Amino acid sequence: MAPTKQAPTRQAITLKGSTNLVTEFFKYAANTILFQRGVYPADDFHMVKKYGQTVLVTQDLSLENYLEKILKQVNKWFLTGSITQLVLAIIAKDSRVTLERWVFDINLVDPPSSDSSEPAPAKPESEIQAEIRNILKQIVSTVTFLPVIDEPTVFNILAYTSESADIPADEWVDTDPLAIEASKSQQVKLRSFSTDVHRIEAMVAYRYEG
Amino acid sequence: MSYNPKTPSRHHRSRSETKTPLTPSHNYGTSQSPTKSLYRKKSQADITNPFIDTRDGRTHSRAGSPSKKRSTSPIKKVTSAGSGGIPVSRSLRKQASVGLIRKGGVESRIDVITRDYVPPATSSQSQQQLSQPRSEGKRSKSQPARDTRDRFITTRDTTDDVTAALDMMTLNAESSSPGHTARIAAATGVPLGRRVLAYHEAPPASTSDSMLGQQRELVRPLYTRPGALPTSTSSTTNKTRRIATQPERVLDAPGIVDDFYLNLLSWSCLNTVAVALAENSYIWKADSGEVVHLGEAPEGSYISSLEFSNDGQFLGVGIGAGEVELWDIETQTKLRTMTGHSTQVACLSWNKHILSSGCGDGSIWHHDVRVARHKIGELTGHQGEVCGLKWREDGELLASGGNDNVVNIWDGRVGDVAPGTKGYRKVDETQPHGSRKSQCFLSVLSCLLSNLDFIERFISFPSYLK
Repeated sequence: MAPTKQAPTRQAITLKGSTNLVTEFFKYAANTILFQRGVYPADDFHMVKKYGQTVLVTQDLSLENYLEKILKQVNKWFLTGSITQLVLAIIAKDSRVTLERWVFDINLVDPPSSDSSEPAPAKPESEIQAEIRNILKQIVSTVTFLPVIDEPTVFNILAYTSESADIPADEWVDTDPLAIEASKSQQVKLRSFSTDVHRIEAMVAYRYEG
Repeated sequence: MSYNPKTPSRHHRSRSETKTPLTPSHNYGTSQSPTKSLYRKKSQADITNPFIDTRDGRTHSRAGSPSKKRSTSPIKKVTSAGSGGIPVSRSLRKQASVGLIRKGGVESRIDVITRDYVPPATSSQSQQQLSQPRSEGKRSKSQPARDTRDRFITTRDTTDDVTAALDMMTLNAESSSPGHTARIAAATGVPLGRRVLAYHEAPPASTSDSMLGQQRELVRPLYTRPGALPTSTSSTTNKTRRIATQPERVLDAPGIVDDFYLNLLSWSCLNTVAVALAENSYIWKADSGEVVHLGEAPEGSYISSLEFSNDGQFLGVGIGAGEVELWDIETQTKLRTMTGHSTQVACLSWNKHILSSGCGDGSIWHHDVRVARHKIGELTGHQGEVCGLKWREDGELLASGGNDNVVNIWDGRVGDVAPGTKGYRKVDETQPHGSRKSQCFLSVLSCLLSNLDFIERFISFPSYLK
């Protein structure tokens, strides 16, 4: 993976632009996970062209709206920089056991040092897209090692925010982290991608009792 | 989510069930100041402890406890079950609130520490529960800033659970003392001031149309079907193949002859079961459950064997006196009786229109049921009674097992030869240790042997037969 740029410029991608880019990535990442892990039936999804490849996106209106609502709030937290982690947990429907946790760490890239010299060239969008594409491809490829889930599952999206984050009280509630017991979990780090402002690191933890 | 955010873990915590006041470290999600929560606990301790502030209760408890205190489990000593616990006097409480205990200091200190370190393994549930209010209240007063990490350990059975609990914990700095929180944070590696949030409503369920669900089930790839692969997820690991231990249906068979040499049961390809009960033969139609009395053996004899023809239309019946009968299932009439055997016919096997019968004298006859002179072949190779007989599916070979511990494989090409023509005995396999019990085995084996693959794999043919 390309190393994170240490001195990006703000000219190419602003905070807002980066935020939208990252939020959009989450939308497709969540859709990909939900499709690949069979949380929703495969025929709920249809193919769209995105990031130079086909991505499967849900057609289920209620799910679409649900993700939309969540990502809208996530977007706000992005702008204030108060979100540190986004987790998509896959939970067994009946036993409520967490089977998988897809963790996306969100890091703010250090702002460039204030020397007014010629900043490093902005990271071209095509490069960012290539990184995103690689993550999505990696999510697809995880089915080869993740345990087969043959029971109905549900998912939940958790947002790790700072204490001071502005939280719409009636919509977001404090919750259990839905962690998997350390002794029963395996973790695989996925690729990361970065814009000039944000760096997203992906990781999947899954329940595995050898 | 439906989880209570106050609980650090979904796991069962034996202690937290009856705990009314939360100790500072447990005040997740509440925004009380440390002093306020302490005060609340104090007052709750007062309520739950009827003997508080009374000299009597204190001396009573003191008098009752010392002998037990060091000898038994620390939990047991805590209260004399119903009495409500060790009282804490007002002065003691005042000292406790500033973090020091002078009066009876050593003992109360021991109380706290030993209880923390010894898991409540031996004490009964009721004792644990009764001891809860007092122990919680006391600790929070006497040791407000004590590092209480060990509390987590004592309430866990395994270290796994501890790890899990620590993983799942978040800390809320406002509700406990700063020093305590910092220590917990350092010990668990959980950063401070982090909130875990979830959207207030659960994600929508996928559309639950049963028709659609069925269609989806049908187009699922094999590997995603339940039970297709062994998985490592906890909820599916113990899926094993279910072997029924209960019979699906029990049929009463009064008077069935208790002799394992006889073959009194036959199941046809038309899903009907023929069973012989002494001299009577019955048909049970498995599809409808209907029972039909087919017929009786001749007077003074009994039925010794039954065998359906391959198409299920006819039933061969061997009689104890040596006759072989042919019955039509549909009309429930006897078509013919084929005589000639001297003793009981214990086994029958069909090959198209040829009914082979194994006799008690060791001979095997082929009957062509279509012609009047029914006996078209005789095979003599057994010294003892023939107790197992089975044609191979294609009629090429016939296997017979005898009471002389011999299994014979016969060339099945009998053709239209004169009666009395002997078939060729192809193979014989002698059991070295013959016994009555081995006959069952032989009977089974003769069935197995009707499969040529089996024969060629396990039994060497004499070279002249190859």
